[in-house]
Amino acid sequence: MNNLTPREKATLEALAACIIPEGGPVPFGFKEINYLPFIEEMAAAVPAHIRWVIHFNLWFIEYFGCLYLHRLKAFSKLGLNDRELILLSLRGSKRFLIRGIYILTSALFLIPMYKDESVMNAIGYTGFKNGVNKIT
Amino acid sequence: MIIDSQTLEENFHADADVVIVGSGAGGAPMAYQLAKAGWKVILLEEGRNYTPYSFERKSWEPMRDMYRDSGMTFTLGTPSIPLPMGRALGGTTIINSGTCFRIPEKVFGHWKNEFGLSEMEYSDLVPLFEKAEDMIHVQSAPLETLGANNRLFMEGATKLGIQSKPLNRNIINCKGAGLCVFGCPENAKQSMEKNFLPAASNLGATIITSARVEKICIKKNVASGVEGIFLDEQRKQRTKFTIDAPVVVLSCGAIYSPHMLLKNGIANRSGQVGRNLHIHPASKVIGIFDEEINAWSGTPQGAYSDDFAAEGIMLEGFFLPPAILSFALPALGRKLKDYMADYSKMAGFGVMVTDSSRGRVMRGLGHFPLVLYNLNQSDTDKFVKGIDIVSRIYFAAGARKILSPVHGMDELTSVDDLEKLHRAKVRAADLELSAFHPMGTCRMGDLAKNSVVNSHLETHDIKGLFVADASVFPSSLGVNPQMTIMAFSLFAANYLVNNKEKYRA
Repeated sequence: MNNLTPREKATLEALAACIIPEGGPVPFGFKEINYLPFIEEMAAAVPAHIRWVIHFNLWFIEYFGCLYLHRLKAFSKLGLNDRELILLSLRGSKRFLIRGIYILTSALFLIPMYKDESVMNAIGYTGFKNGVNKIT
Repeated sequence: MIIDSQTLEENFHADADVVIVGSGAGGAPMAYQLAKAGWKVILLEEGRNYTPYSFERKSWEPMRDMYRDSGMTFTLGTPSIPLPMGRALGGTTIINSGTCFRIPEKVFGHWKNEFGLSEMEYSDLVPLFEKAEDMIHVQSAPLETLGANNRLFMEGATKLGIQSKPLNRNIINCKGAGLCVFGCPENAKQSMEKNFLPAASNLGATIITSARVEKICIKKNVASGVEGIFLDEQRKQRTKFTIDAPVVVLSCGAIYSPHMLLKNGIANRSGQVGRNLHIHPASKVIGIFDEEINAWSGTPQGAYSDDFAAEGIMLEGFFLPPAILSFALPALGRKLKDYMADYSKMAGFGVMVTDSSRGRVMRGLGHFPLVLYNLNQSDTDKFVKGIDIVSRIYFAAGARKILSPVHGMDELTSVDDLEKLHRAKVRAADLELSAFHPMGTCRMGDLAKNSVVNSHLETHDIKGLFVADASVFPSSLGVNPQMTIMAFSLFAANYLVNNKEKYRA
């Protein structure tokens, strides 16, 4: 992302391990998925105010996410379980703007994950590609 | 001709008989009908011309290019609701699902009773629907393109005695690529840039893309044209332009047409501009089955059931590619991976509600409107019923699990769980919704005190200023609106043609 600070990179790394974990039935995760170039490319392409929303969301999660644990510690410095608890709280919030922070941030990882050729093959998605419609 | 504004000189100025703002289901038929009658038409579109659109692109690019604000537009309220809109030549028709309904007679009757609409009869609209349907090739979705997603729903519905059928769609040679909402990769969906707009262009209309209108010019309470800016490649201001015309038609959709009026401080003697916003809120129900369904294959919105339309509930098909569906599922991390491993076994159907809730469009910062909308309990209850019906249909069709849009009840594994859903006293904030049909914010009616435009869509306050889009609907339509927008737009165009001496310069 444009002007990505070291702290934002750390937040992204901490988020990736929760949102696209290794293992499980889809055998790819944050170590295999090249999410950073995607985030940089997407952020460069979207309008400036959307780019600032992305920055704001990362800032909010990094510094205010811990409020859901009732203690003060930056998100990127928390353990995996605590980070997952925070994200579950954001996701389950009845305030859409809070939930929206989770949804938009998770999209930064889930889009590159599920548009990855290996992942699409793993989940059996053979949708429209190269002008050929594969109706099964 | 269709021109990119980047090829036009600085401080561009032109004269026309009519200037139309927006190229979607409202603006395009208006441009066609007036050009056909010999009017000098200039149509301005803020987005770009993506015809022919290259679908060798990356998954993010259609969202970035063809959706306003990259698809990140939403209402504020309880719950806040994503409200994506198109911004391209063809407007939202380029990224809609291609579903075609005429306005239900009952709804039109209600509008007549409540708001007068003295100049418009249902019988006037019938030939206009026929004209529009002919232009955009409306036909029943072919059974072979429905895909297993729609067929499974129809089978389950039949088992429960619920009627369902293929939807009417504007298509030619649809192969069921399943990507309607990202711009049809087969050019099969007949959105406006494939019919009305080229036809208008062939009849002499000038269509200018990357042109954002900022000001509606008024002289002595009569419309006299528009001013705005031409955008460069980075969507920043390149130069200003002025178009002088005695008729101005706003077809910017039910969010941006009222916003334009509010920004200009005009046509709001009634105080109704921006009010009465309805959006047809919708939610998704995902069924997970034991067998492979490959729901991405085939027309996503290919079938529907209107058995519960009288209760304000429409059921229509939907499905999404994995990169988009993944962040709409109710799970995180490993659990989400478990769900996504079953992607090929998922089926999806939507619940769309005829909303009695009303929101409001207000002036926001710069050219961003503020859209407020709170879902009331009556509409919330309709969702609970709709989710219940689709879930029962899926269970009848053999689903082993339902992913519901109700927070705290994300996973339903049997019909018994549906009883819990009813007992749970679901509130609006519990629902995960989206919406695609904003309407009602410049409603039409005979009385200037409670409506913005009359029944030929001219504003009560400003002569020569028309609004031709879903803003003019007095209440929630109950069905996908593109055909009704087209028919109303043709109706207003015919009025202009028949009264040309009143308006032409």
